[in-house]
Amino acid sequence: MVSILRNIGLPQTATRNQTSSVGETSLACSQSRIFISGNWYATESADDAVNWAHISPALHLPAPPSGGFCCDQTLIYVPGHDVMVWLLQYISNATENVLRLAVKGGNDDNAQWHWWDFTPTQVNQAWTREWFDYNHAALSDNFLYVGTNLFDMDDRWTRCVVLRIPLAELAGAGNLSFEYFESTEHFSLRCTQGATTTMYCAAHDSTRRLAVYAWPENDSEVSIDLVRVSRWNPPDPQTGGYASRCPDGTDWLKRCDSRITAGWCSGDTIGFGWTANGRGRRAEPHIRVARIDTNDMRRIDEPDIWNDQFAFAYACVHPDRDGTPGIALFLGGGTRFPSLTVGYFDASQSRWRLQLAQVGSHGPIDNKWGDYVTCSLNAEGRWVAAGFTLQGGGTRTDIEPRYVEFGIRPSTAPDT
Amino acid sequence: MPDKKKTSKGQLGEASKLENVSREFLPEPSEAQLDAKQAAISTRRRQGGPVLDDQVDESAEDEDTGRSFLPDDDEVPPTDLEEPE
Repeated sequence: MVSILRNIGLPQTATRNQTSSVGETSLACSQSRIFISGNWYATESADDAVNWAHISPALHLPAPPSGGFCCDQTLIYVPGHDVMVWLLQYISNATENVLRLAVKGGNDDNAQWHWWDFTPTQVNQAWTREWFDYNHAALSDNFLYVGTNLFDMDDRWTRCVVLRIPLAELAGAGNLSFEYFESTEHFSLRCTQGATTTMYCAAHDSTRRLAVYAWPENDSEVSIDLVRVSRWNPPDPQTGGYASRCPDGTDWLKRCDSRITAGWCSGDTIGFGWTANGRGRRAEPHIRVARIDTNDMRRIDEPDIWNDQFAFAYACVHPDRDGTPGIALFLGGGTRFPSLTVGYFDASQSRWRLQLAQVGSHGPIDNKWGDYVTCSLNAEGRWVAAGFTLQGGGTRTDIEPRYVEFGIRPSTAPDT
Repeated sequence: MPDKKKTSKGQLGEASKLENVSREFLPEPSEAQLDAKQAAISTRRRQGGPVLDDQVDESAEDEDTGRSFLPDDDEVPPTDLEEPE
């Protein structure tokens, strides 16, 4: 069973109402700080989630010349180097945009941010008139990985890129070296959380195959395996999204698609999860899951998350120190409004155990929701999640971001 | 599709530092600006990559296991859900 240890809605002082129903929450926890970001705010607590200091991503760091702050923030804490990483996506001008990699000490009260700005042409001179969108981050033993898509100025996808940056260079403010690979075949590659000496990433090759990329730390080549999975239904080609009506008639999955949102690594097992369209008994959109054995790159099983009364979407997974995958995601539709849900994978039963963390009171009045929540670990090794719900109304200012700590409830012996 | 992919290398210069930049006073984004930003979000996300169509052979079986690649509803029951404590 899931045990929710702390469940805290962020006050308006944390966000100053700079919220969106496309909430895109991320979080990172050091020993002394909890840092949460979302559209279009950031906030930090230095007293264990009692008080939250608002940080404006638009103003806290100076904008690059090409454009001001846009969206899509990602946070990740690097425990071994005590580095807090903050990725910020900036608005594109007519030729490019900036993906900023900002870092500071995770536990130093006086630490100041320093940062490097990536533009597409700084990564590769041939990537002219392109811009970064939808970034995420993951760690292996010695590297930070940043995955992002690139689009041209007509919003056509051009490539996906995964950057690899030595952790040892992040704390210093000197030159920053990086390696990268690109894919013009596979959209939105997702890196695995919990990687050690090899980073695995995956994207859809078709509705029956995953393309799994493996990048060993000591290798300059990436290997690619195509892994068979049970067939699944993609988004409606007309709308590009799914349909899931809330009790108030709003459609919270209109902009949801099938890109992989969850990737994790646990020993010789890797797993990936994505939101799939309804199919058969699984009439509602749900989370397709594929677990893969890295020894032979074959599917182990497919412990999907589904219900025939409501939808699940936007899953994020992070393994704990024992390798047990924790999860944060949304459910909604039918009789339910979009609600934040957390849980873990019970390997003994090959099933996910889920618990609602916060029930939403409304659906998004403009049918816009997403595009991610975050599940991570805190300094004690407990799962933490950042998500959001609507409370009291259906507009962007009714969004309440939430911080959740959770674990596995010890089973109790039956009374004798 | 090749089963290997080469990686490339690059480098950025020294980091920018907060203490080294002059920051003009800027106002917080206004409610109206953020409302406009919300309104500008599309209900259709930018997508790309292979066309994930539905035009595959339903009867095809996995050459590895012989298992039918049809929805395995019988194998994975609906996910249990606990209500809030």
